[in-house]
Amino acid sequence: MHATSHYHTIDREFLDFRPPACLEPLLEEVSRFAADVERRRRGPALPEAELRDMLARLPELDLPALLVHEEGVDAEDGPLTLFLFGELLGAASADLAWRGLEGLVGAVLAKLAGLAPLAQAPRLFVRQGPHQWLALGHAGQGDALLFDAHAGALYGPLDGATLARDWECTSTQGTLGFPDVLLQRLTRHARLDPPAVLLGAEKTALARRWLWASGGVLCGVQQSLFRHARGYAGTRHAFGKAIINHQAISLRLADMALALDATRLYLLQRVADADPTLAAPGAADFLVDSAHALARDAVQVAGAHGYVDGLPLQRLFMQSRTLAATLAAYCGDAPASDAFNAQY
Amino acid sequence: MRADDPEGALAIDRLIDDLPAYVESTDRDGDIAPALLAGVGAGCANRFIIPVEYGGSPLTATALRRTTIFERIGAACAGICIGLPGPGLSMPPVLALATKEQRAAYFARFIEATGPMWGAFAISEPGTGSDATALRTTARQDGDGYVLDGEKCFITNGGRAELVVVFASVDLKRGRFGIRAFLVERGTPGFVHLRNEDMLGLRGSQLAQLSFSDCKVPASAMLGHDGVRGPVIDAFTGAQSAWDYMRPVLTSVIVGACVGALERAEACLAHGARSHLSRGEHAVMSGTLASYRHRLAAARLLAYRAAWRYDSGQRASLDASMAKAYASTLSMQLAHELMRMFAFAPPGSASDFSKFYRDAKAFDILEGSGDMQRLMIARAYQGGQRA
Repeated sequence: MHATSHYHTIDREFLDFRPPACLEPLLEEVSRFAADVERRRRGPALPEAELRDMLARLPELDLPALLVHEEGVDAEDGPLTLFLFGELLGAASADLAWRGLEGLVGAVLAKLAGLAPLAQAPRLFVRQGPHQWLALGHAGQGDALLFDAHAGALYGPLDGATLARDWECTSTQGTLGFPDVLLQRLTRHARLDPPAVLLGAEKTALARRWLWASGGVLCGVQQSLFRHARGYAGTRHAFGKAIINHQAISLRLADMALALDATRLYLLQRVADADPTLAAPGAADFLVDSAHALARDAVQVAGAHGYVDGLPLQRLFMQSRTLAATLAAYCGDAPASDAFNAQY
Repeated sequence: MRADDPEGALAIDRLIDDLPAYVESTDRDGDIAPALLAGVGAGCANRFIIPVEYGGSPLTATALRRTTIFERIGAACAGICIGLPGPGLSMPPVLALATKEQRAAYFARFIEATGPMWGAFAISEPGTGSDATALRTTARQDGDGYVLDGEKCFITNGGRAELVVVFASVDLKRGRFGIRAFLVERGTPGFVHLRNEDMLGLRGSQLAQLSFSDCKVPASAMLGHDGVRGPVIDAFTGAQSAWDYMRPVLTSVIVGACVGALERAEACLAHGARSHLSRGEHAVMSGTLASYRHRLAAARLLAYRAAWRYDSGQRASLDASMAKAYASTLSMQLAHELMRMFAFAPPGSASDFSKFYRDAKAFDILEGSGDMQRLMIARAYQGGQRA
């Protein structure tokens, strides 16, 4: 509980999540970039050629340089920038956000975390040799890993750094909503070294920054779901009026708006405070439940049109699930939960 | 401790310390024991939410500050929190509609009162609940005053109130634009407190039914009567300002009640209330409770955002509705979880959450039901108020 001494400290405008003025040019540029992505998208997804083209243009935004440049943005603004950047990109294209941020954020992370410039340090899962991977995550036997065939990167939860050698793939399949991101599993015979041997404390910094960025992407995808559902409800007519004017649909949209705002405020607060308690127990349940409720309702608003290919809703429904699960995979740091409980 | 109102801070702390001893009797009797309020001191209790320029406490000078304090009080007992003395919901319409002189006189009554004094806000009627613009209470001009006729229901603290802001129509054909607000004193001939409702929960706050029959009030009782009004022109907008003001505070009371229940549940688990459970079952319950910490953090932020917008003069109706709708749904979900986890707990024991279960249902009804909040939210998005 708050002590009495908190009564007068609450006036700070901590809910004014507008980015600092020095970031506005960058975010405007990202907004323009995201708008361009929207224009190029045909149907639910960005065609592969367009996706590759936009990925190639991403470095023009110069986010890594801005974030780490001595005269650029203060490190304190880094979390919010990563979140807002992920959000803008996620709202435009989850595919682009996934692949683009993985590279861009990774470059930033490596510098911010003071990592040695490993060849593929940006990756969440880094190749160290033909048969050796640095797993920034919980890569226990049989644990699921995510492999992006295009980026040549493996993904894994970040709550421990584990070196996995001599692994071989026992199964390969696409991931829900991201067919290019392949799900791979280590063999039973893979040799796993203790965590944190190579990265030590830096892995925590990496994990947090990935959380901030991926939290933004999830929020962006959720906004996109809401936007498309609301747009559909405004144009689809039934029983003589737009379905948005039917109370059943209105109530569903209101619930979606509630889930969206609650999740976004929660994530923004944690990100703005650079709060490690985002990884507290129970946070994953909240984020996954909230994301699921919104995605489920968005598809429901459009009925069969939401379920079949054509509108973006079908794809976003799946992507939201995978992104929420990925975000949730990084939650579970016990000391952080203690800090959270002490605060509230 | 803040130096500019140490007396107020101590009064709040004392109230929170003393509250637990009065929860059971308040729930049983449907009234707050005078001893609790005597301990706080009428001077402090009456002025908790009054603006500083009228003698109120700087501790509660902004909506944002009020939310933090009311969360603490709500954690101890939501019903008592809502039933505390002071102007309550009658204050925002006075601030929005009343003349300068009316405001000064109105607040002076609370500041100068020697005992606990309540205000009330009377808009709901038996035939018009959620659609307040369709109210049927009339205000007929009669000489140098108005005659009120009609009935009001579900008025929080209505039976205790010395001053009630009553909404009535001077011309029913004009709909919301015919509505005016009148400050009516208890004891005015024709103003009758019919009864207090027997509520399921939140019994410390009394819902009253009030009747006005040939109730003559002077023209000066109409807020903004002489044309030099406050910042708002029509009285219904003044009522809206009351909801914008109250809903973030109520959300904080709800969040507080949930936090109080959650902490009690966590303590019960930690101290073996469910010791017969397997380690796995115990972990699942702990995980469920932990997730509510985060859900409540989100609800708290929604309340803060609405309060912050209110304080900064921005439109806050949508934010207030969102905060209240989200928190009230959450409270019922948590109450359901706790009743499932601690089913058939001995009444009055630490693991008995039946009172919280009864209270939580009220949260989704009072100050605008959850369904109505959602309709307002949907309309705001339809109308482009929120992108």
